[in-house]
Amino acid sequence: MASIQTSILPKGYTRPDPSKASIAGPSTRRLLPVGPAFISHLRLTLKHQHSFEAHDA
Amino acid sequence: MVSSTQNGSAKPAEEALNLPALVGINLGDSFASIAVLTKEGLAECIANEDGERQIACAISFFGEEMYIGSPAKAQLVKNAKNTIVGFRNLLGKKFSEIPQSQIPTSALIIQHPEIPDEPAYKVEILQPAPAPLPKSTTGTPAASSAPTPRSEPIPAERILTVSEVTTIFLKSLLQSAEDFLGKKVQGAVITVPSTFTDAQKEALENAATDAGIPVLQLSDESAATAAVTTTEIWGATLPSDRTQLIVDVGSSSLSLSLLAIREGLAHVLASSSSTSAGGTAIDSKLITFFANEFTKKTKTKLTVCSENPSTADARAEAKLRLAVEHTKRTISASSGAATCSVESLKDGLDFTGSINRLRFDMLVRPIYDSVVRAVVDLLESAKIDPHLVDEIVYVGGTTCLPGLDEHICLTGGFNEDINTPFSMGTVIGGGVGDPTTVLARGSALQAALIASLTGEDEDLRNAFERGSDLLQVKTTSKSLGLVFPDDSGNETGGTWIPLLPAETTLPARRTVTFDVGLSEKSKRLAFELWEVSEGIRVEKIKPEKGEAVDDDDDEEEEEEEIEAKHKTIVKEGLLGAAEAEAALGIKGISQSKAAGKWTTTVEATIIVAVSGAVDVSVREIGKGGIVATIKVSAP
Ligand SMILES: Nc1ncnc2c1ncn2[C@@H]1O[C@H](COP(=O)(O)OP(=O)(O)OP(=O)(O)O)[C@@H](O)[C@H]1O
Ligand SMILES: [Mg+2]
Repeated sequence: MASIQTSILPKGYTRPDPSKASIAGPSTRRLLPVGPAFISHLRLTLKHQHSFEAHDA
Repeated sequence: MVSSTQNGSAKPAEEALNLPALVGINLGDSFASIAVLTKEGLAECIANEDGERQIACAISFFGEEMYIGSPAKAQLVKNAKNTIVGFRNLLGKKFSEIPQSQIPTSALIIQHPEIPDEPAYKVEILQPAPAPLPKSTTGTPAASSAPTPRSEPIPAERILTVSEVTTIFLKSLLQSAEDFLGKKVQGAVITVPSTFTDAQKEALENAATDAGIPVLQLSDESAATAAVTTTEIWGATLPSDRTQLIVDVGSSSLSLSLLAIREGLAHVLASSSSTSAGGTAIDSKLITFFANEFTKKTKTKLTVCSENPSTADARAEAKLRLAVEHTKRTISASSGAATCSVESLKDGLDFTGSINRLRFDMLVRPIYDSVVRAVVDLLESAKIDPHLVDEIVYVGGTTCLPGLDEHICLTGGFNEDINTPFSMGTVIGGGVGDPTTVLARGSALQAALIASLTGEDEDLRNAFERGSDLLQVKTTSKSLGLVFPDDSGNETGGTWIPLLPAETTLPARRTVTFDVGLSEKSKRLAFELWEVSEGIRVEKIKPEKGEAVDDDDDEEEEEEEIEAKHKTIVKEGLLGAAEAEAALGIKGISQSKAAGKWTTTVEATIIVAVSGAVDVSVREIGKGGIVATIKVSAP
């Protein structure tokens, strides 16, 4: 079961405007080629063009 | 305790015959180890025919005999000049690159007589006498048809290159593995230090191939470690997203790697390596300590670890060096005192001394200190507060010492509940955290992983080749999460729901399930997507009067402030916000804690594409539930 529970939204809450248009630029790293998670990552990138939808299908 | 009869012989058990013919080999400079896979899919170290799991990297020639492993190391006392140790670190190096040792304690490294700039060892052996010539069946009559009597072996010199020595040694490891498995090995992964150059890796790979080892991969030591520490059994209670510090202290070197582990994927954030600390330095302290004890007891002068080789008692020192190996292992294994015994240490006098853990830790404190210094330097250069390190992993024989763990935890600036194999209780008794087995076991797991890539996955094996670009990935540089605003006035302005930590490999997808509080009248729910960074807030606490430090000398330290560090979340930027009217709100039933409160259960999913574009959806779980989404374009 869900263990987190949020509190009630304040009555007068108004949605703020974004202060950033996008996330900070991704970094480049080198994966350690280990474990089943790495194989899943390879399948995702090589066989499914980085797409989770294609991967799940 | 290390017992030589543990695990019995390396004879194939009935069960071993059903195990996959895959092995992991950890080739250290001073010790090697071999692991095989168990039928549960785990990996375990095996003992060689001498009953050793830590197999000394030593080869010794004595007459017609060749010794390998601990029997070879024992030859360092009486037959040092024909005993080869420390060859792994010389692989792939030129003769001119190798510093000549001033005090030779093992076979000398010479310039190979034929190959230019090639290091080699020259040893004295006894060659079996040449076999008598076979009787010729045709032509000229033989001078005599009687067989020549077998003559005495002939003293000879043998020149071995570093590669040849490595091949001989690796062949013996392969043999031990095959004796255990009862069949030929079909694939092996061998560790290499991360400092190895391509030339060194090439030399190792060639030596292994010459030994008949089917090499699937040379695995960096940090990767072999991660192959173990990312598995389920490593620590079920550890978070799947964590910052892990690997501390490897071997005999002569110290290597550190800081890893980001994100749901099983790992990469190196920072690393360092040096020869500033190791087991050999600890040995020298112990040898000096016991030599002084010997002198005190027997009034016989004994000079060890001296700068000046001519005054040193070389043979006594070699004997002590072998003996303290046992002393250190006893110190690691039990809290009682450990002994050191040497027969005929000097002038026919035997020696037995002992040292307890407290004295030992004091004696080797300078070596512990240099490990901590290297750790602090690494974290500083990586700009990571020690409090943000979740776990320390130990690799290498010297990290078996509980005093080193204590010292690192106490003086390294870490959070006091940092996880280590000692705090998790996995070091003793051949647990998964045993630092002397991690590298071989990780290599065996790697061998299994690579061997499993067959059929249409066969092409994925490319990723395990040296320098593969398939390892190059994009990762998030900051953390992402949702704020559900409320009146709490806390630092995030509401409930913080972390979705994706910094240093996560892209593309990434995460899902979190939780309850959203609604009010009796309004079923409106709203949330904001924030980019944040994790920080540390230092709080200065004055110790309360009366409950001050438990020592009695607290008067001098009166009013000294204690620093408490807390992890914080620093908002960096708002990426978007969304709202909706919940359709599936329910009122808590009377008995429960949430009685009378309205909530709805939602599932938040974040997908960050390789481009950095973000998609967040918050969906009420159940038929007819609402969905609210935020989309953020790529940077
Ligand atoms: N249980 C133990 N307690 C303390 N020290 C130990 C223990 N077991 C092994 N050692 C020490 O650990 C060292 C060997 O460690 P390890 O096998 O990791 O080194 P290595 O990888 O061969 O060498 P290096 O990494 O320095 O090139 C030796 O100094 C040995 O005496
Ligand atoms: Mg090592």
